[in-house]
Amino acid sequence: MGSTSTKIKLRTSDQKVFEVEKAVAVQSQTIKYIYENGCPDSVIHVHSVSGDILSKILDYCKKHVNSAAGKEDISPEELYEWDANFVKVDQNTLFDLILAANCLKIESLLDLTCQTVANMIKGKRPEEIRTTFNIKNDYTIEAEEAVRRENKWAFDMLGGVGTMVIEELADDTMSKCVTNTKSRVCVIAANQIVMMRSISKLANKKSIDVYKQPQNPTTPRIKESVKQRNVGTGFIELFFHFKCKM
Amino acid sequence: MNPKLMISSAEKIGNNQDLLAQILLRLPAKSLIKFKCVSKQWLSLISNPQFCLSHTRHQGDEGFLHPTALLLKVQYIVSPEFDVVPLKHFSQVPFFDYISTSGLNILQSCNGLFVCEALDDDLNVSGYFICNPTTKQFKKLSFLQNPIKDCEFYVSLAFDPLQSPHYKIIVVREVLENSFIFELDIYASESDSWKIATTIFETKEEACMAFEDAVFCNGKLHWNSYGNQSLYLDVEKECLQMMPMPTKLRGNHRLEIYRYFGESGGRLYLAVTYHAFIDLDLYVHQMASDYSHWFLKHRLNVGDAMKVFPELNLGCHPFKSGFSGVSFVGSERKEEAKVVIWTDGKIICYDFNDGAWKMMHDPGPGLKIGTPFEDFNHLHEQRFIPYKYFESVYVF
Repeated sequence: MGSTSTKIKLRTSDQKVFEVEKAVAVQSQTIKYIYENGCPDSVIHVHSVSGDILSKILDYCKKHVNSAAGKEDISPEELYEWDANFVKVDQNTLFDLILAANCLKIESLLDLTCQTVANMIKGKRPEEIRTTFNIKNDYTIEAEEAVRRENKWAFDMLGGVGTMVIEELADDTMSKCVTNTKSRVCVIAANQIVMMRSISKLANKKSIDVYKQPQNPTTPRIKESVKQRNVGTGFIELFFHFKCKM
Repeated sequence: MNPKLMISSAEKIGNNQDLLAQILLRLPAKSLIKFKCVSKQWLSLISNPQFCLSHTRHQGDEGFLHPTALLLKVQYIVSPEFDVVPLKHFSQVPFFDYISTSGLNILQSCNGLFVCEALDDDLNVSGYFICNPTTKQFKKLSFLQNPIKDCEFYVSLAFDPLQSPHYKIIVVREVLENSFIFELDIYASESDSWKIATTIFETKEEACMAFEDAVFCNGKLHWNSYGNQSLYLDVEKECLQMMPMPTKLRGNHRLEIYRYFGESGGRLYLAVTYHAFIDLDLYVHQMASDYSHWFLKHRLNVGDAMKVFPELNLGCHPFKSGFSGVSFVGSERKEEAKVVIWTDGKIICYDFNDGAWKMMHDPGPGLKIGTPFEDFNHLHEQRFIPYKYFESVYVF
């Protein structure tokens, strides 16, 4: 007869032992399989997971089990926020969590951690990706240049005729953006002076949704580097205008 | 102490194709294209058709793909350039100049793939292509039954990666000049083969069929018509059916000018304008889910938008009211749509959710979307045709 207080013992790679409720532990399909096909009283070894990581993972599983079972009064929005805070960890821990979620087969955690890493890397340049994952660049210089040229549009943050509203940018993307030497860049905003870094910080906030037209549109100026551009604020609405020289 | 070299978790993930794919699946298409430069191994993974299909499917939301942007083309101008109207985030889209041809007409956009006709220097059709603008992959179509001189020939595309990784090309061609007798050919990419003349049918001149204007939705390819009836093809069963078109409103004796035919969230929409000195009315019809009839969803007066956005100047040019390029996109509430319109150089939309006019895309104070071409004296003489663009890494 299944009892809600059945406990399962888990031993990690660094020999720490955790005793957890069965309902929490079987969030991991791997543990569930081992438990159901082995001896219920024995200790389950989770070889590739360290104590610290398992501890965090068990927090996650417990929170989600309790929320689903109604033991904790938590709305879907609050759970979503809890998850968002859960993944606010250093990069190494995040990658450790992915490996562990994969090995323990906890689908929702794998989804959460992979999405977090995806959001973290999406704005990076290829060189930074290589550093993050310690990847050897096996392209010849010509081959890499050819691929870059073919897909140039995916690299340019700015460029062409049109307007852009800045949304999510990685912190240093703005300063590295490529402007066509034939383009003019004109930033239209309201009245104060702000450094580029602040713009990207503000742009990372999702709550920019109040739009108003600036009172005095600045006239287009030519600058070689976007960093040097002095802009107005109020930024509640930021436009990058490009006019290509014909 | 362990003498072995410690490999970081990040590196372990990088070396694990399955785990790496899990992360890459969750990246936007643009980032994936950028990361083709990381290494040859990444290039191989990102270009792998199976991965690309998984990635494309991952973008789906409750059974539908949502467009990243609208591409606006000026009617009758055959350059490979277009204006981009962002719907989700800013999108740069490479112009169609990688298809080396003198001129190009977009025929149809369908869930990430475009079908275009290429024109030679004399503006004669020299070929048909399908392409994915995100990856710049394109392929010339070859037909078993080629177009006959002076006979009508229409090419459409049926593609929904959320339902099937394969696409179909549907050709409607007239068998004899001015006969109004058509044959329907279907190409299936799955078998790389054609079925010629699966159906033979006749329309009447009064039917006013517009086979050049096709909308694929719910697994069916629908054609626009300016008459009382139209046709659609159930692509799976390959059978042709009739559907009604909205009847002219009783008492409305004005001549119809345009029928903007489109779809959003699996629903067909038709927006109709009428001929008048200054006409700012847009009658938006929605098709019933059983295809039995259209109902008038709303009579929009685009002039109302001028009250919300005083900088718009509509109706200043006789018979060219200053709006065109009507398109239908999804809104936050799934059941409702937004009508997106090019008006006097800006893009506005009417949200059926709250019955409000909103600015969808403003290039900035004093700037208007509408490249000044020599052929036009006034911005409002240009008519825009909108095509939905889905940023997708799909490989065909």
